[in-house]
Amino acid sequence: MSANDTGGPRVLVVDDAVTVRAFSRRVLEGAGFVVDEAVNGIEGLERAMAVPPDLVIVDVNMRKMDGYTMLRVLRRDPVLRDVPAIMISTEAKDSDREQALLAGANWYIVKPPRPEVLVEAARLLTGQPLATEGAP
Amino acid sequence: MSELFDQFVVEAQELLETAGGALLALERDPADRASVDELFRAFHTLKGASGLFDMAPFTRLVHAGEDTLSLLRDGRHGMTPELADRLFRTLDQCARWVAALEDTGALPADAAQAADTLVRGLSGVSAEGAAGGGEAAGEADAFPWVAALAREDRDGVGMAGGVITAIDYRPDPECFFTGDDPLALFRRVPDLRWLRIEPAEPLPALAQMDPYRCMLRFRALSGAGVEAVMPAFRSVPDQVRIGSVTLMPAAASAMAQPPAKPIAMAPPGSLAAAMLEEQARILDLPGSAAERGSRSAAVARAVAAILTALGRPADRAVVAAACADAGTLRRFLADDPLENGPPENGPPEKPAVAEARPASPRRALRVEPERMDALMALVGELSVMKGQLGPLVRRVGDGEVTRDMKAFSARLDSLVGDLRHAALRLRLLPLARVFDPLPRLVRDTARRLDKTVELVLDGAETEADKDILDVLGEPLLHLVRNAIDHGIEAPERRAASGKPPGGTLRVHAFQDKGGVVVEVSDDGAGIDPAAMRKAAVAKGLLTPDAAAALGDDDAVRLVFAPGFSTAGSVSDLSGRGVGMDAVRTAVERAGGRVEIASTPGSGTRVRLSLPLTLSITRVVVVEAAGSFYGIPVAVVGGVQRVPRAEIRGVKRAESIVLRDRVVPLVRLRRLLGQPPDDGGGHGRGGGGEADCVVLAELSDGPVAVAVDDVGERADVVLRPMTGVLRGLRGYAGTAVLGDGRLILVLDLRELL
Repeated sequence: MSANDTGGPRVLVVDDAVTVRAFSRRVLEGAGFVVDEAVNGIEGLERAMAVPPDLVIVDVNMRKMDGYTMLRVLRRDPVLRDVPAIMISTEAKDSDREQALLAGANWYIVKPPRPEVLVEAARLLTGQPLATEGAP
Repeated sequence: MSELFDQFVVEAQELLETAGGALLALERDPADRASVDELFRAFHTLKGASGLFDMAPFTRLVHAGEDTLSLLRDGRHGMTPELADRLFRTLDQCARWVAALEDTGALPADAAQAADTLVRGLSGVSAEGAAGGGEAAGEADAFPWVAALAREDRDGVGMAGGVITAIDYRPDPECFFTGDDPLALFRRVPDLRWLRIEPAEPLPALAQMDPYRCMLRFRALSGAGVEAVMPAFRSVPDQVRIGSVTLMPAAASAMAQPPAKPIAMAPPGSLAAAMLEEQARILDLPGSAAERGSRSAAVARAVAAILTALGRPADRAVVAAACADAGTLRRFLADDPLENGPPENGPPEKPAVAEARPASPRRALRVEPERMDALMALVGELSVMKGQLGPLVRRVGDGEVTRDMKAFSARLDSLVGDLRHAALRLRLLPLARVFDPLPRLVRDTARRLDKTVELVLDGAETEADKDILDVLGEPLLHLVRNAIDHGIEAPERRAASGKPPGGTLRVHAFQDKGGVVVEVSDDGAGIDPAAMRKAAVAKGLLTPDAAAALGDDDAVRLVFAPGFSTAGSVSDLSGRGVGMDAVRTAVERAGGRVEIASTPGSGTRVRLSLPLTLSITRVVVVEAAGSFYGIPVAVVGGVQRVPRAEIRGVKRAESIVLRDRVVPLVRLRRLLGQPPDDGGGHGRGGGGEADCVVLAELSDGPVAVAVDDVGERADVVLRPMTGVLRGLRGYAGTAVLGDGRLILVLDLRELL
């Protein structure tokens, strides 16, 4: 993993689709974030516990452990319970948004995310100034 | 996979239990929001969790349950006993499936079929609900006009990305005559954001118009929750539809439909505003105290981050305090509007609790029973080793070292005692575990029999060893079922005998003499001793003479007699008896006791007394023919010296009179196949003039056991016989006393 540990906020991207992960990494690293990846909820939790992220971006449907479960567990963890979380899904229904929030997400984005939306949401939830382009 | 699967099984069991409790509460009080939420959430979580595995029928069924509950939650369907039945059946089915999953790792073959039947029942409910609502179910579909709102309207509502409450009200055309003032109703709607009044249908020509008929349709949006809006329309429930819908934020809608404007040109603060509103909404979501607590922690951090990103960082503690609930957060954010300058004043009134840790329910730690047993065994051995240290220290002689060693030994003594106590306590669980299924059982049984029964549970916090709880579970269900089935009368009969039509069933647990007692009492018909005698004779259990000689108490106790209960028609007796001997057997096997007291006409009380734990048994140490034995205290009614002269012998059978009762006397030596003690015994009790007698209270009646000597009472870790010794009858097991002596613990019921 190319964790350029130069101090940018750390985002953990949890998605079973390799393309989505690569996309998120490119977009977020381009905006100065340090990106970590995991392929399912269990791995996501393991990564988060090893290196607490400043933000998690979680897919809904993943094998082994889905995003809801991962967020629920995350919210129960004494260290990670307040880590901001974005849930990202192909579903645009209110009920899906609701489910994401119930599980512990702070925000919900419908797939596929537009790069600028992803970056703006990530900046907001990690307290990065919106004005500056490039490295926060 | 398998660990996650195990986790699912455990979680599912917990969720089903929670759901069952919530459903009972909800049936009792249909307005209980917390229970609806709890129930909904349980189904919802089950759906999500089960979806992780290959168990489509399960997921389908809980999904259907979730749909039905969402109707309940939104007030589109009311709670009825029929609906409760369907949901209970759903929970039962899920519980059976989870049990199957635990055993075999898969759902049974007929699962799909079973799910279909139940889903049909549940969707029948959904269909009714939707029909009552007038339009198709599905919140977004139910209020299509919300999605169609013009952008200006949307902005005016000011809740982009948030959930709002939509109101669609078509007043009865005659409403002016029934005293309803449609517009006035909206004045009572909290946080009204948007209101549109239009003709309900194309207006007729002016000439045909009747000005006394209301032909309007009112549509409105409110920032308050559905529950808050509902009361305003209480008088016109049939004319209004209320539901929550999400207003897609500008940014979010843009995401859904490409392309969107580049980030630099996005209206400043729009996504941030939507996100902040969403954070407030999250605080309003249902959930357990723990869930809400962690959500609010996450919201506090997110809000602080967003404010920082917007260049107006706020103190974390202040933000955390503002995140107590949605209203407080909205007020906080309104006082610090994004458009206006920086806040002149700090946060508004500070909520009392600043991110107080939620009062989380006591969380249990799951420990493998084998590990507990290993710990108990080690503690037992440690006790034994410690016991041997005392004599050793004494042998060292006098001197400073000895004194120190004695002090050390004494400290060790008390530590080992504490350790043993702590280890024992680890295994204790509240009786709530066995009480939990009772409300449901009472509800179902009473409903089936058309009786009204109020269940009073007392002492659920009483603790006992897990093994004891396992022993207690079945008998308790049995007793409760029997009490409703045979004890408590039908309402008419109760009324006829001057009782309130509803019966009361009380289950009361408490600790007593180092054991736990559970009493099941009802105010039903009681047991008629005469009928019991007759039945015993009819079943050939007693001769007519023997039956006639029976006292009333003993006659009532016949319900415990093996064979008495197997007859099918005992319910004809105004008593009980189904499976009562099974109750007795189970309780006695665990070293406990069953008693019954009944007053014809006014009720029955069954009392189960059990030791606190199976792993530590309190025994009376007795001596016979030079060996030591333990008799469980649970069966010991007393210890006494009996002068030989008072022992009456008839052939080889002996008896004594104790408390005005003739009690058969047996000699432990004879029971154990040892030579009789002919006067020159070892014990103090020998010597001809008196015998040491332990009175054993067995369910068939008391028996006096003569022993050579009676020693101390001791708590021992009972180890069952293993290997070839397992076949030995009459022994509960072996145990090691504190001083290292090995004793055999007797099972008098088998020995006699």
